[in-house]
Amino acid sequence: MIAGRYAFSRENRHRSSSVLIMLGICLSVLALFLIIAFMEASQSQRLGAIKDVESFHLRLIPRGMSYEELLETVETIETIGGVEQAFLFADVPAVVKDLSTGHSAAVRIRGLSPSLFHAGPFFERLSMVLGSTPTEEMVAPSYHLMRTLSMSLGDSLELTILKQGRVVRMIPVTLERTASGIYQTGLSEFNQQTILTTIDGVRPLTSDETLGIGVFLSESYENDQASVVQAIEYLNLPITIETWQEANGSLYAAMKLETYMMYLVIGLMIMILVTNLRNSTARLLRIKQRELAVLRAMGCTRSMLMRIFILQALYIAAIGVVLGGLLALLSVDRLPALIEFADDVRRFFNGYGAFSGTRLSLSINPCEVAAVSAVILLMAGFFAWLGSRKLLSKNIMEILTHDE
Amino acid sequence: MMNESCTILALSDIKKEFESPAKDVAPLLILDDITFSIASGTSVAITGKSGCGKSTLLHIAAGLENPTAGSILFRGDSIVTMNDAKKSSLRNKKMGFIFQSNLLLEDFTAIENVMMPALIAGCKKKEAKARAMDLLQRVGVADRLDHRPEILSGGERQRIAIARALMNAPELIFADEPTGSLDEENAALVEELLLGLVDDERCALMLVTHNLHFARRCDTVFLLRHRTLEALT
Repeated sequence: MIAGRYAFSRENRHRSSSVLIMLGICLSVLALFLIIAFMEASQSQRLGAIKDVESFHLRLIPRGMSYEELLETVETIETIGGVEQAFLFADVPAVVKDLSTGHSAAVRIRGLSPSLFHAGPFFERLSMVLGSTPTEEMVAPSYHLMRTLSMSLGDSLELTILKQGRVVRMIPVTLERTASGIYQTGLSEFNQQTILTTIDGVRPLTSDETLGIGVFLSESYENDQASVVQAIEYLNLPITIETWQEANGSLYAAMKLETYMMYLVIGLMIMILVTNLRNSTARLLRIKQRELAVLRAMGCTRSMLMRIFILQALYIAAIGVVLGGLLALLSVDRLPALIEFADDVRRFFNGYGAFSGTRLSLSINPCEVAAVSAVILLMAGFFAWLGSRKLLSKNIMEILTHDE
Repeated sequence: MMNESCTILALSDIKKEFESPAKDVAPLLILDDITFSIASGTSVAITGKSGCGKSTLLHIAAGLENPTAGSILFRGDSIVTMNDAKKSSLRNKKMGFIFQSNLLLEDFTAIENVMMPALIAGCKKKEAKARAMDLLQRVGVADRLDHRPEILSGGERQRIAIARALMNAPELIFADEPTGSLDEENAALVEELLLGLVDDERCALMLVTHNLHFARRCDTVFLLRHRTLEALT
């Protein structure tokens, strides 16, 4: 009864203090969970984009294999357990020139098996801003390149590459292709330099020796690449295998560091929250110390009073944690839709969305919620215990005399 | 000499010193060699100049403050050596307190304030409420049951404090200047009420007051002067 009255009851003269403390806890919990959800989603989105768009899960670099042998190898690899999709790809450096505007840029042409433009992780992360995915005679530049070249959909693009010649070492080869569509992905570096086309569309520009094999693993094998790598090695083919972490070593290391920093920031936030909790609990006890002394005079034991103040602190903290958690859940549920809406509005006015290709999948981990909630409740109880213990060690009359 | 079996509270050789915050200054002696006892159904008044140590003596007698030396026996049990639980139980069940500034719990209504000692003692809410209503009726504030202390007058607050002190039917009531902050009319009312209820409930009273008229209505009057007690009646 007393703990409840001292927490949120309308009869409590210091109810506003309790409400303010509860709101502080609620907002801290909201901020904490949102930061965790956003940072984890952003990291997982970037990592996902890197392995699905830029490097694929595995890259196999063949040594001296013909086109037919490569096709055969692709078929063999697709039979290995854990392999979801195997395909040919080629990255060819080139210079692109828009024949309508005369603007040019240095690019990388990426040729892919046509099946990748219809299904699978690559297709899922590809957002076609305009038009459609490329066919053999067509290419799809990124939105970034479209702006660089001041091009429009359907423009003819001249692609020039340097190819090994018979008489001279390198000779320029030029092809003309039409822009079938404009894409966007969550990787700005990829978007800035890449033009997509089919593998057959890029073969006339390069030798078959530059072709590689990309591999996507099924979801359950994404964290168990080693077994698939081992199975491919067992085939004893003239190929070098590179995982997506190896292909993006420095970036992967930077992101790992970012994860550690994220946990450091969250740790600091929890420390700030705990410090605030300590001060708030001390304030709650200070404003009730006169009542505490009166209750002592009326026969309340020390342990009864400790229970009252611990319970009061737990009420306030629990309501703050629950409200903050609910708000965080609601935000996580609604924010992606809100971001999408903002993107649609932007697309309506500008013709493209700022976040196209960036699909943040926000979620709150129940274990993290439980851990943070437990820390806050434990700290609230601990500080209430510590504060009331200190206050109860004082003489009753000392408190009453000083309070008057 | 008082009959031993009737004695509720006995103080002997009480001495109280307050340590000075300055290192080289000797402790301040407030009470010295105080010995007196209170028998059940009697009233004892202690008067004296402001700052002479009357309230300190009352707090020591009630176990709210410890003496520097001496013993306090409540029905033969030493209050000074009691543990917290026992001392709290004694204060709750056998003693009632009325302070000058009444010290009501501001977050609780009049009836809740009166019920509080019974609830602390583990009494059922319904029973506590019935007894509290009866007491509030007897002290004349039955129409203020659900009012919070902040909107009550000084006289009403003091009457509620009296009802609260009587809630657990104590054997001994400690009253520290109960009329000190009241006007003449309210002071007279509280005086009548307190002495009447003490008679009705058959409990003892230890009163600290400046009001000589009020003090003289008690069975025994002591004057606290030069740190010791002098019997006036």
